[in-house]
Order: sequence, then C-alpha cells, then structure tokens
Amino acid sequence: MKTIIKSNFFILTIVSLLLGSFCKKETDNDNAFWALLLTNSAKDNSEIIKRYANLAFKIYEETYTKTVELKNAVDEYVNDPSNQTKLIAVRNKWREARQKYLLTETLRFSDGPIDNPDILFVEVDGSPTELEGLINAWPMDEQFNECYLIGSNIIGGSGCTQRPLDENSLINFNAENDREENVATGWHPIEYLLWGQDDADATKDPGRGLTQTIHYFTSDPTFSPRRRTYLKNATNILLNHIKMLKDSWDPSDQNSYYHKFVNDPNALKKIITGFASFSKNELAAERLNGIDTRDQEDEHSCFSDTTNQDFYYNALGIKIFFTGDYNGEEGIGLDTISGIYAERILRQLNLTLDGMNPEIAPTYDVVIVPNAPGRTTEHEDQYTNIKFNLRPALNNVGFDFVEIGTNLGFTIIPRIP
Amino acid sequence: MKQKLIIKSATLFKIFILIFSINVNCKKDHQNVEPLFLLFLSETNKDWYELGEEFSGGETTSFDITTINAFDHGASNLSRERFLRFESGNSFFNTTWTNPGSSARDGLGPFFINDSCRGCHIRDGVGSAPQLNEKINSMTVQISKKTGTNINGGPLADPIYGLQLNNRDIYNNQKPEADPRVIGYETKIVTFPDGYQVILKKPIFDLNFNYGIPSDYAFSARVAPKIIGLGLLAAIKEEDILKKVDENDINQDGISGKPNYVWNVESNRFELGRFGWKANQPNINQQNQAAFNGEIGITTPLFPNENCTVNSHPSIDCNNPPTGNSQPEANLEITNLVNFYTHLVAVPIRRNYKDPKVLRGKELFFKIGCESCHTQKYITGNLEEFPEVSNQKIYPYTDLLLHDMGDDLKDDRSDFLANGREWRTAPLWGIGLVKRVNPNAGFLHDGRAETIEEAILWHGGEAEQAKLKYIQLPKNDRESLLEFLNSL
Repeated sequence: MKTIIKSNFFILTIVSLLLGSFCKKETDNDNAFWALLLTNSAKDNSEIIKRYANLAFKIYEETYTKTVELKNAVDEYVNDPSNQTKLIAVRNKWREARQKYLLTETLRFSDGPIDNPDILFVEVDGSPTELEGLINAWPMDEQFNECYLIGSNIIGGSGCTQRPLDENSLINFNAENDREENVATGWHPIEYLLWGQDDADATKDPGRGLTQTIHYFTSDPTFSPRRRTYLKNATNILLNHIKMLKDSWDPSDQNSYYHKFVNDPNALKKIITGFASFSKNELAAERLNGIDTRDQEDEHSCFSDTTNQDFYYNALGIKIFFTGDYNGEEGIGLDTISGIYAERILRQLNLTLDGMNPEIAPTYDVVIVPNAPGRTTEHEDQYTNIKFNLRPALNNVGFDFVEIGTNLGFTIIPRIP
Repeated sequence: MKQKLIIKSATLFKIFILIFSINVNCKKDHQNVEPLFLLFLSETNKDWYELGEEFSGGETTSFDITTINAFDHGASNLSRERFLRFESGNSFFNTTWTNPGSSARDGLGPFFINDSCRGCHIRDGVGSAPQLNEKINSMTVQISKKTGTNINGGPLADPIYGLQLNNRDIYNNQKPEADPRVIGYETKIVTFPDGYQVILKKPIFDLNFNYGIPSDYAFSARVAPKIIGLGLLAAIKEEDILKKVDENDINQDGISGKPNYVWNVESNRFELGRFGWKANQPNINQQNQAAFNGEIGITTPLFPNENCTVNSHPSIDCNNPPTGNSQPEANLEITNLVNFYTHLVAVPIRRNYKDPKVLRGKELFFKIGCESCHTQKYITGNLEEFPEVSNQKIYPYTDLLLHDMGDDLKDDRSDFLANGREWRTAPLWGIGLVKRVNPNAGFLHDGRAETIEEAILWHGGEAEQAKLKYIQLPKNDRESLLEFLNSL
C-alpha cells in the first residue's frame, strides 16, 4: 500500500513537472496543483478525448443517416408535390434529422472541422468557408431566397430575379453582396421552403399550413417548379456537407481529423473551450436573447416553430459529450475529472431538458411575445422559468466549464458566436 | 576575466554619462525644453515602470492578448449575471439586419453602409483601411454643407445626402447615394537624419455621387474606431478632462487642448463631447443610436426617422420608405442592450511592459511631448449603472480634447466646435493589438497609416514639435518608442 502511494506520488510529481515544462504559458504552479487534485491520470484524459471523438463520429453518422432519409422524402415529394402525406413526411424527416444535428453543435467553438476552415472548408465565391454557416446560418433574410433567388414577390422585395438554382450556384449565393443574412443553403432555407413565414400565434399551426405550402409547390407555372428544384438541391447540399463532417471524424480513415484530434495535446482544452462557449455565449446569451427583447424576430427556428427542440437537443448534446454517455451506452467523459462541478453542471442541464422538452413545452414564440394571440398563463410561466432559471443555468454551466479548465491548468477563452 | 573587463568598461561609461549629464543639467535653463541630446544619454531606468500600469483598464482589463478576438471580451469584473446581459448585447452588436419584411431583425436601410455594428467595428477593433479602387466597407464618408450649421450648431446636412454617404441600398445596390472610392494617393517622403525614409500615402477619394454633385460641401472619410474601454472613457470625470484645457495656450507649450461642446439630443442641451473622431458625441447611447440610424438605416428611440432623403431611386420612395416590422426598428431594449455591451468591452492587458526597451520608449513618449495630449492616466468617477467602470485607475493615453493636427490631416469639415483641422486625441490603449484583431486595419481617421510610425509622421499642427523630436531620435530610440506603443 505504502509503495503504491509512493509511486503514485512519483508519477504525480512527474506529471506536475511535465505540466510545468510543456504548458509553461498556461500553467502556473497553482493550476498544476489543481490539476493534480482533479486529474486521475493522463490515461483517463486520452480516454475522454477518444470517447468524445468517437461520439462525434457516431452522431454525425446518425445525422447523415437521418439526412439521407430527409433527402429521400424530398425526392418523393417533389415528384408528387400535391401529395399532402408526402409533404408531412418531409417535414417530419427535417425535424428528425435536425434533432441529430443539434446534438453535434456542442462541437462548435473547438477549432474543429465544423467551424475551422483550416481543417475543413467549402469554397464560396472563391474563398474557403467554414461549414457551420453553410449548414446553420441565422439570421436569414427569407426575402433574399424568395425574391432574389426563386424570383417571386409573394413576401415582398423589389426587382425580384430568377437566379440559377443548381447546387453550385446556391452555394455561391451565400453572403452575396457581403451580406451574411443572405443565406442560400442549410437548415433554415429548407425550413422556410417547407413552412413559410410564421406569426407568433398560439391559435394557428406554424407557417402557412399544409394547403398553402402545397399551393406554393404546385400552383404557379413559373415559381412552383423553381421552388421544388430549390428544395431538392438545398437538401442535397446539406447532405453533402454533413457527409464531409462525418468523414472528417471517421476513425477508419487514417488521414481524418479524428486521428489528428486524438493525438492533439490541446484536445482537452479545445473540448472545454467548446463546451464553455456553446453553453454561455451561444445558448444562454445569444440564442435566448428574445427573452430580453420579447420579440419573435429573435426566434431562430421561427418558420417551423421548432425552437424548443433546438434548445432541448443542444443542451442534450452538451450532456452527452460531457458525460460520454449516449443512448444507454456508457462512456468516459470530462465529468469524471470535473470534481464538484460535474453534479452541478448536470443538474443545470437537466433543468433545461425538463423545461424545454419539445413534446410538452409551450411554443417559444408565444412564450416571448407578450401580446401573442392565444397566450395563456402557461406561456407566461414558461417565460419566467426561462428568464430566471433556465437561461442563468446555461450561463452558469458555461462559467463552470471555464473554471474546470482553470483547475485542469488551461486558460479557457470562450469564443464569440 | 573577459566578463570582468566588460563590467569595468560599462561602469566607466556610466560614470562618464553621469558627469556629462550633470554638466548639461547645470547649464540648463529650466524654462527651455530639455536639450534633445540629453535624451540619448540618459540611462534607461526601471523607475519608469509604474506598479499596475499593465492593467490599462483597471479591474476591467481582459487577458486575451493572443487571439484575433483580443478586443471582444467583457470587463473582467463583470458578475456572471451581468455577463449574460453583456453577451446578449454582443449578439445585437453582431446581428445582421435584414431587409424590411423579413422574419428576422428587419428594417435595414433603405440606404446603408453596413448591415451590422460588427461589420465595421471588426471584432470590436478598427475598421479596414480603404483599398485602391474598391468599395469602402468599414468606414463612413461624412458630408455636410461647407458653410453654416444646423439649429443646434452641428454640421448642416445636405438636403439630398444627409450627413453621410450611404454606399449601399437594400435592393442589390440599384442606386445607392454614392460610391466613394480611393482613386489614388498623394505621396510624401519623410527622410530621417540617418537616411531612413518612410513613404506616406494620403488617399484621394472620388465620391461618385449618384444624385448629382452637391453645391458647397465638405466631406470627411473616417474608419470605424475600436470600441474597447468606452465605458471607462465615459466615466472619466469631466473636471479631469477640463483641467487640461488650454485653448489659448497660456502655458505656451504649443498645445492648446480644446473641449468640444455638442448637442445632446435627449437632454436638449450642449454637453462636453467625448466620443467620435472629433469628440462630436456626448455619450455612448447617442453615438450608438446615431450609428444605427446613419450607418445601418435602423430607426431608434432617439432617431425615429429613416435616414432616406434621395428623390429618384428606382425602387425606394423616401416619402414612404420601407421599414421593419417593429417601430422603432431597434427598440429601447435593443439600444439598451447594445449600450450595456459597448460600455463594458474590455481593454486587454499590456505586453512586455517591464521590458527595458519598452520602458525606454515610455520615457521618450513623455519626454518628447507625446503625453502632453495622449494623457496617460486617470481615476474614473462614478458612472451610474456601471459599477464595473467606476473608480478605476486607467491608462487610456488620451485627453479627449481637440487639437489642431495640421494641414496634412485636416478634413475641412467642422463639427460643432471642432474646426476642419482639429481632431480628438485618439486613445492609444490596445493600439499594439489593432493589427492582430484586424490585419487590414488602418490608423488615423481615414485609415491612411499602415503602421504606427506612419501615424506618428502624419502628426502636425500642435503635434509638429513632438513629431520633429521623434524624427531626430536615433534608430534604437525610435524602435523603443514604437515598442512601447506596441505594448499598449
């Protein structure tokens, strides 16, 4: 027993010396001390990193599978656009595929394939562009898509133009005229095509309703075929981009980012930076800023009214990558070396999961808009819950991640969305 | 053995300097400026380091000095709760505004220069310098009548173009107000006594008016300034700023220092101007709302009318301009959030602040007179609602006053009490990180200086003497001064 303690102490000393020499810029003695208290061993860290990378691949793979299903549903629908059942199927597949994608958003702000164009990019108008914006850019100006790409003035605009809608052209229309709100590809343009504009109104279904949407996809000899083409091609682009992400995390490809990452000495720091930035800067501060303004304009998935599922699956994603546990399969996560923070972070994430459960939570736009038709005390209670409980909880989660980083000897500088 | 010898000769050298300095000092008339050669010989002294001076923003100082986001961090003394409000404000600083009628934040334009605050204040830093023959994208060209003022004594708006030239419109730039571009440069060569030369380039603009050339106009091209530490500047006590006022140069140092008094739209009275290139805005709120309205085309509580005055756009009728879903387009909550944010963006900690070369540079900065206007430090007063910036010891290197900067920098466009040759002393904190945050940033009001040295060499007027002293410095001292500036 005694010898074991001694040899452990010896190893710890070595580790502390290594920390001192390799991480000189970031580690002072205090941090190294904390690192010793919190870290089990270097081996555990590599297992945490490996589990994270394996989960990244697994969930991108599932996102890909679900997006293939979305693509198939779209292909069936555009060949039979007056078929209401097929449109419902497309909408459902969009929701399901997006749920999987939302889990992966925790991988942002980590210098990884999703938002570091040095690792993975698509050329947009000649310049290498990160995938995140091409897949999930928001805010978007749907008038750009409707009027300047499809060519119809049904939602306003002036001088509408029919532009080529092939895949290559669509990609290059992103951020046209130096305007980031010109979003031609990704989840939200597809969402717009499937649901159309929406009001904050608890008495109506989201968007234009099935009949109206089908009308737009079928009735106009000029614009309906263009709208179908746009839907089909935008879905193909989304699928290709998700495939790129999946492949970048593929452990079976020796040249993939997966292998760079698991051998990267900064991997753990990158993981924690992503967790911290995504929880507080992105989710708490930016995505929930409609709690401050009480205006539907600040709702992200406003066309389909699926904003609750955004928050729910985003928070679930943090939980999965933090704990390493997914779909009943247990794994080693950062929680194992987070000391007292682990329990607190999980408790705060669970608050969001309970409060934003898309099956039961009241629609987000009606929650934030004080004078929305059909608004009830249930909506007001939810507003209070988000404002005073859930939003501060997500903010605290982010700060706790920064502190975990500090205790492990890293200076975590959260990224700005 | 060899080492010993070196020490010995160094000691001898020191003694030599000491004797020499004493001699000079004895002869010195205290009314005169210190002879320049004394500067070369005085020894770099650790005493020039002042405890805590690396915390340029006091307790608000941030610590990211390596990434391109070095300017994009909140005050370090923000509580978690107030940090959330800060970042919510950040999201509106970053929001891209969309065409009227869209489901997102809408109401952009109809005429505008950029679609977000961030678009110009790149990562909260300085806007990009205008490139030859290219559309400008993070600067404004302000315009007004050359003679006369408006009823509040401010610049008189042109009836067609208003107060700035909006170079974009919401319908794919069918016919924006104008399309100002740099079409060439006036160059000037500065030769130092040691033969070193610097070529200075002053941009020549062609404004490309789309609605006729106005009669009798003045214009001024200005890049977006960095927005770090604004709350701290707002918290500087007015009496401390006015202390340095010397409009008639009674102390005969060649430097006047003049306060601008500008119209406060909310309180309906004249107040000390602090913000903007000519100190033409009295507070951050008015600065922000004016920028929303003038540069993004967003109506606000203080400026509820669309910035739309042209008469013959093919798709935009300025009698009935397209507007966003909310009125005003940026409501009070949004302007409050952006105000909160812009009060609390932190100034990063200094680098290499104890390096002997940097300290030597600091010494020279004081001795050749830079600090006369670029005032080193203050203790801030109480700023209501912002405890973070209140009672902080700060090192902004500005007096927030107007100075005549000479012929080369003049824009001939007056702004309240600031005449066409006068500019507000720019705060120097963070200047060493400006290029890290935006590699395309340019120094000075129109971004003409590619380097800090070029910016120094453009100084004239009240700063002429300090500039000439800089030119006279030996190479290693010039380098020291630049290293000091880069450490800020």
